[in-house]
Amino acid sequence: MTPFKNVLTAELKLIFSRSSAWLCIACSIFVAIVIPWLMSAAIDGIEVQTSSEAAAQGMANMMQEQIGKDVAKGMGRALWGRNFILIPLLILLAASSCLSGERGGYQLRETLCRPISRNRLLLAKGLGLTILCGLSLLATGLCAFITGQFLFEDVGELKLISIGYTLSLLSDTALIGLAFLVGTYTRSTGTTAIMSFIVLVLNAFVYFVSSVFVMIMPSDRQKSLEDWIQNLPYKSFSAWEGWSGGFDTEPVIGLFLLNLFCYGCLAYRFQKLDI
Amino acid sequence: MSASDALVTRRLSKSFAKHKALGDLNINVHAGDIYGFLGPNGAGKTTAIRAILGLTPADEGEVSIFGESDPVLRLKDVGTLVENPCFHPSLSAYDNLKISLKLSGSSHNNIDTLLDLVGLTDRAHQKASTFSMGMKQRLGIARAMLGTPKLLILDEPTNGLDPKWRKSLRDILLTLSRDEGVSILISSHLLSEIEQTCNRVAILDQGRLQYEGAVSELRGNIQTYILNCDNEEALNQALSEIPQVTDQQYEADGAIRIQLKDWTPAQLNRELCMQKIYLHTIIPKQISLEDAFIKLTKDPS
Repeated sequence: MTPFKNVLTAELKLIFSRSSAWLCIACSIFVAIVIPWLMSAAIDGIEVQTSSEAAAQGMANMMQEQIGKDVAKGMGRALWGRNFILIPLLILLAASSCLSGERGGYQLRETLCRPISRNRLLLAKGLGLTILCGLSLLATGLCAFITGQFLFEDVGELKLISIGYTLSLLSDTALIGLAFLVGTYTRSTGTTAIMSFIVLVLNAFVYFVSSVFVMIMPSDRQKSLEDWIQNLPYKSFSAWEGWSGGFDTEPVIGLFLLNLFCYGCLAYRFQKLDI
Repeated sequence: MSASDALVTRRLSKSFAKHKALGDLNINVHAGDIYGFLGPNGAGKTTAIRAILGLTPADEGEVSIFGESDPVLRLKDVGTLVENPCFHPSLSAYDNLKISLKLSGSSHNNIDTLLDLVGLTDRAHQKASTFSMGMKQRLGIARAMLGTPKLLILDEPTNGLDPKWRKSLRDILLTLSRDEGVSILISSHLLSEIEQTCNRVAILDQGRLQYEGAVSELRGNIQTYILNCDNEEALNQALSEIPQVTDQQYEADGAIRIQLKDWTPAQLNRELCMQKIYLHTIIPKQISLEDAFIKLTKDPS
């Protein structure tokens, strides 16, 4: 059987031969430089506008606190920017072209004519894309840290941010698993990316409808329902957001379960797939 | 299933919904064979190849390559070209071969030799997506021969090749089989190619094996005779009344071509003499592979 190292190296070469991978890294660096810089500019703007009015100083301080005045907050806001639509979409595209794109283009057929088991190939593809996501997160974190060092005086609390970045990687792997799973039903990169995106939008829609539903419920039932909606997949996907105020257990467990579900279903489907 | 057989399938079956694409296929490719895999469109050739390679899960049956039946391990020494070859469009021809070599797990790097063999050395560093169909086909053939395969499975390898490259491919395959003992399974519609290259063939029709054996045997099994006499009308009438005469047809020069079932030409001649029909000549004629193919598949199209 072909050594796993060979399969992984080949997959990495293929992943990084696609423009979506490099665009993902470039965008990760871009948001990591721009967002802390915007934060700094906003804080400076608030200082300029409120310097003449001593009464508004308290308000200004509160707004500055909200935006964040340290490196850790800069890294957190950069992570938020990184995970806002564009880069997840690029990851979806990369994952889609990796499986359903190759299936539609018949390159997957050629790969599976070699002595490689389907599970190994799937693992190599997933790991290859996880490395891409890891590099993207590393690029964001490192660039935001360096930019923050120039812009802010305080470093702030880095521990929560590190957990946030780690959970973001898990969230990316769930995204890859979702795109792979959807990709077993189609043979086109575009269709897979769009269908996966629709699943994510539906996921968000269910969460917001549930939130609105909770708000109109009698106050005695609100608490239990609020706890319940913490278990929805939307909250699991955004478990990394806890960097700002502490992590809840349910979304983190949910994120692990989401990964397990996606990859479990995927492994089952992929074994039976007609290539 | 012995290790000396290159490829053996036993009761290999595959259905799509209610359509049985492949039914109890038993084929045996001996080591060193150049084995032709023939059949009309939709006969199940590609389905069989895909099931052999594990690309489509077979409903039942066994496949063994050099005695190995594990679906992954059996592909260790196999080079393939399935339908139209596809490549990673963003990579050059050379990089595509490099990736395939890496995925095959072989340490024998013969990329440069193979690119030279298929005449693509000058285009090695161009993207495969810019190649014409014939060039892609040649690159696909090179990819099938990467490393040191002991069995080549080639599905329509001459697709898109011009006559010069068809002949080159034929020579390459004959050399591989003769000098290196590589076993080759070729699926093709071009019976003349198969006739010139293969020593054994299998003919598939509607998912079932109609014939397996040597090409010469196939031709020998179906012997035809050309009959000439003065009174062709009387001969034609007499022949149509003899049950041992099958597939009676007029030739362009007025002669009559027949096949005999359970009778020798001498027995036929004696019967005709008794009816006062005297033949000038009885010429035995070996039928072409094409005729045998049409007869076995019963589909002149």
